[in-house]
Amino acid sequence: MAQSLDTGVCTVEIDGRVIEAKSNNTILQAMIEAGIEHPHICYHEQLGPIQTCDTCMVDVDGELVRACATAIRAGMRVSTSSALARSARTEAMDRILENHMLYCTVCDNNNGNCVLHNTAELMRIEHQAYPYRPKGYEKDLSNPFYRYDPDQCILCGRCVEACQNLQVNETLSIDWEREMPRVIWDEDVPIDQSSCVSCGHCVTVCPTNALMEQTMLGEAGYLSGIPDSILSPMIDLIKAVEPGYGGIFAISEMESAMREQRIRKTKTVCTFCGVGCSFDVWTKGRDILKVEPSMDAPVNGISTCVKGKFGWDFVNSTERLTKPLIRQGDSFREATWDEALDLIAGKFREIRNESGSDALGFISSSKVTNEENYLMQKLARAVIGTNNIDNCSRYCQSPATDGLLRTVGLAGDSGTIADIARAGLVIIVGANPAEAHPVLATRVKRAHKLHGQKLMVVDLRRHEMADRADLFVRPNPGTDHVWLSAITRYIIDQGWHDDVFIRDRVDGFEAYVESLRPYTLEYAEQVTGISATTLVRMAEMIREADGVAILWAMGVTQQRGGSETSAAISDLLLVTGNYGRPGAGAFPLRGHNNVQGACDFGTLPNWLPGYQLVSDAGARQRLGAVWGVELPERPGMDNQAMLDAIVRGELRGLYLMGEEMAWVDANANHVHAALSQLEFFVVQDIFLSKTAQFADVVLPASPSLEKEGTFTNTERRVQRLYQVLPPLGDAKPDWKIIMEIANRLGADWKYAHPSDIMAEAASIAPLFAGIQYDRLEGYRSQIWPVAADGTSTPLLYKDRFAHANGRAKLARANWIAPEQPDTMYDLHLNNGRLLEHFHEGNMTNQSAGLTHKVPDTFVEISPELAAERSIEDGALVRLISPHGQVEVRVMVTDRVHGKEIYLPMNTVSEQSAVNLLTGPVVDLRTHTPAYKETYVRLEVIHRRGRRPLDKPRPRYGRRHPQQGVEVWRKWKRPGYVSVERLAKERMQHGTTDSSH
Amino acid sequence: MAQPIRAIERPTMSEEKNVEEALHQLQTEVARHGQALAAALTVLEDMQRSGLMDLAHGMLGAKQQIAEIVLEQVMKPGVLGAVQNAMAFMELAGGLDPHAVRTLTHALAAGVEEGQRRIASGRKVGFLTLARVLSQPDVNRAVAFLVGLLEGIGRELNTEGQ
Repeated sequence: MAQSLDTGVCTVEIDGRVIEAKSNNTILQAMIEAGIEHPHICYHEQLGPIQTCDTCMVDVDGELVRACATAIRAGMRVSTSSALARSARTEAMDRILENHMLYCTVCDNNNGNCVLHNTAELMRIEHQAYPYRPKGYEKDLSNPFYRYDPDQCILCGRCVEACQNLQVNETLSIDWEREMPRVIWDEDVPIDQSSCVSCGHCVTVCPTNALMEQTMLGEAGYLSGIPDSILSPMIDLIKAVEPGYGGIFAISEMESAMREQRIRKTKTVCTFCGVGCSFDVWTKGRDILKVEPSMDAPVNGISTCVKGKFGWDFVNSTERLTKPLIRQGDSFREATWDEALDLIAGKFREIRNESGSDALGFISSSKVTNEENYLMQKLARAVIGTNNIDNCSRYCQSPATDGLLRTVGLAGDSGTIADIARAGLVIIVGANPAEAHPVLATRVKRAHKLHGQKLMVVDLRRHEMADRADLFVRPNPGTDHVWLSAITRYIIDQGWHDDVFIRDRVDGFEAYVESLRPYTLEYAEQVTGISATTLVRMAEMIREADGVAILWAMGVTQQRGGSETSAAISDLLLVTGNYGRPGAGAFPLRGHNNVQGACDFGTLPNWLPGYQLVSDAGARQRLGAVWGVELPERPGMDNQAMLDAIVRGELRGLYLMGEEMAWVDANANHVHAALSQLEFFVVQDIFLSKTAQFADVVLPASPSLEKEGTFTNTERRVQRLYQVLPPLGDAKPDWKIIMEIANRLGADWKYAHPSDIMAEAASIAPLFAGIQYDRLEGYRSQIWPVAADGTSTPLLYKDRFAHANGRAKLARANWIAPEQPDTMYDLHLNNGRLLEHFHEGNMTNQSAGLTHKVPDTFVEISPELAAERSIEDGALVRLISPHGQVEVRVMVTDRVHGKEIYLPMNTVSEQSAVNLLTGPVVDLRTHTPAYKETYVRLEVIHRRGRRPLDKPRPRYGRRHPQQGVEVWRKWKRPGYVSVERLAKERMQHGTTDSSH
Repeated sequence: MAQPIRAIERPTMSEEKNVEEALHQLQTEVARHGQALAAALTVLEDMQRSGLMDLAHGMLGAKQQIAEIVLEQVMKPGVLGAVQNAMAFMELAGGLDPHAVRTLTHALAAGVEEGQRRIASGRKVGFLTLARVLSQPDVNRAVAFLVGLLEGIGRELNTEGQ
């Protein structure tokens, strides 16, 4: 508590000026906060001090220190302008310029944000003491996304720090011991052959042009596309005739200013998972030059993954739909918008008149904006008059939502990613965030590596997070509920539960304890295969932790008991008091950019926008008054029920937006049969997806980069996206299309901009009362519930839970035993995502770089099973379930074990799509398909063959962890003389001669 | 039963139709930028008449070769030296005080005039005359300036030599 008494502020004197600074700041941080310009290159706000560049040297009481790494003391007197400090900084810059040629005007990095350029200019560098010399290494152009030019590398180690300690992929290092140090990948292999996951962190933080996006090269500058035969002599000429760097800087700045005229920088929000990264997209015409994340981004800062940083080629794909299509015989014909919209309005009206409103169904999308989801449900409810509206969270997150609504009352993560990073213990159950939520995973990896956070992973697969965990546990499939209940019971038995928290804030404890009776350690050991000792260890880790955050995803939810297990997770957190405090809570990881928002804004059959029940007459009345209609009171069909109703002939028409239902829903053969029975099917998409191929009318929509709106990420954070590019061809933003259909059906909607739609939604949903576009300007964001005055709620349940009496409710333990293998289908089939591809791959398959990294899907098979069936890496096998079959190549890996196999979902091929195998069983409470309860048998077609992925790549490569850039190895180089020493000697002797 | 289909029939636009559409777009642009276009056309006409268009065409076509040749020539020691000299003179000129330079040029002009007049008068300068005129204020000022000049040159030569 002493800290809270401390004001945390002290005063220091910088060049005679007294400033106030936070007492835990370094000198450089204090100067930056006070707005004092001071040179620095290797220090980065998100990376902290690296101490390699020495350009921030200052004089403190006659001693030279690095401003970036020296903590301030009250009353400290800092001089930046003493001759000693100046001399040290000049020497530091001289050493840097020996490694880097300043050809700024013809450099693709001359965009006003080159750290080296700006620092050299700030220091008024005119000449350099040591002439530039190349290092004698080739450029590495092997990676499809970025290049490394050792001759421009100043060895600051920002890239290494980012790779080792922020992304924590641990691939890059500087080989300080060799004659001519450079950055190396793993043990100095070509980048493309290394364990690099192409997340882009290193490129983003590089303060020069040494690491650059391939898409920038020869494109960013007016002169940077010049061939080398002219470029080199031009650089020589400029160097020869220019008397000093001042002139060069001036010319390059003019060129840089000209670039501003043709390069647009537009903020957007990423669509490749639910983390909600935001960044600027740099475009020249329709060409995407690069994605530039910045410290302004509230979720990710400078972090990205390979898809967000490099995976946007699909936007300009020649496969994009650019005109409405109408089915005519055996083909589609291109049509005008008027023709397509008239046809749709006519058919909808006809079906409604003949069979009633409920003969029509609407499926919305977790990829489109909040505003578009809002309009889709409004179209269904207010214009057509049905609650038959659902979205694809039915395939993934509905059980998690159900578990949270039952226990704590709100359908979202209970805190933010900052709480995950801050937790004492992170437990990941049935999720692989390193591939499916990469930037969120980096926060866990960093906290675990640097800040002593404990990590427990419970999963069938030994994925990257499992590799890094302090405790990795492999339960039998479908038994998470049992170990969760058993350790909760053990914690209560030992008296380790949070008595006060339960007494003050939780209902139903006695009944809950009673329901835990069967879940003894012995029983759990027998069912889950986890030893009693391990179960006790798990309970102890929870007890020892200062804050427990549990992260879960499809491994939990896509089971028959997915909702029950989600509730069991929430129960465990309640019993241990891990709600309503920072660094703790429940975190279902939303898989798509707007799974959260699609549900929030009411594309659900039983919920109106803002989680107001359809069955609540008051809510219906309030909304009805705003919409000017009477709302249908019968809850509608979810998408599983809609498919069944199609087969029964009750649902005649379906309007589906931005969803690849034909491959993403379970039991694909059944889905295809149902879709082909539809009397009238409208699909709105950016590609002619498998689903669209069943349609009668296909409408060309705009992807996120071509429109405005908002997304809500897994933290409940609402963020704005801005239009980067105009719509391609005749494609239109989804909200415009929905509005045109509604208006043709007699509605009189007049939304001029998505902000109008949000204003209406905020007015009818108390949860979003204060959400406004002007409060979301640029990189600003809001986290719901948002009060009318605009106050966000990053941490839920601080004072009360979201039930009427303000108390949480424990859900009674109720394990639903999973399906079991039999002699016919003896292998457990697991499935999920791969890092390089989004979902089934309709978008990411359009990127040459991503398909170069992962061209196709494959099945992971354990070494034991491979030995048993005498097959090798690259074998071709057929997997057969009761519902269908696929043919895929084999990857033998110990990520899976025993008779559990893993088939990633990144394919739209009729030969290998995983949902040809999955069956009709569903979560009993929410009807989410139990994708994870699938059993298959394996037939060998060829025992060996072409490996599905080249070696070595991230999935084979070995990482090279180290403590950041390890600058002390630089200081230990033979003959190394520190900048401080040299500067001092110069002061004493006038001049000196030294190697460095 | 709607079977999945991939085939898309795109209305094949005839060549004429394409041209027609393009022309229509162009017309819209012409209407919008009429004045600017008329002005631009006049300039183009001038350039055409003076042969500049041909010249530009040739240069643009061979721009890479030309750039290579120019650079090769420029990088020759003589040319490079000339460019460097030019840069040095520019620097020198930039470093001088314009007021002083103006005074000096006026002084030089007056001196040249006076000198010519003296030569025209045919008067010879003996040793004594020299000693006598040294005490004249105008002559003394000029000599003081030249002595200072010599000192400055000498000092700079010494620094450069080191």
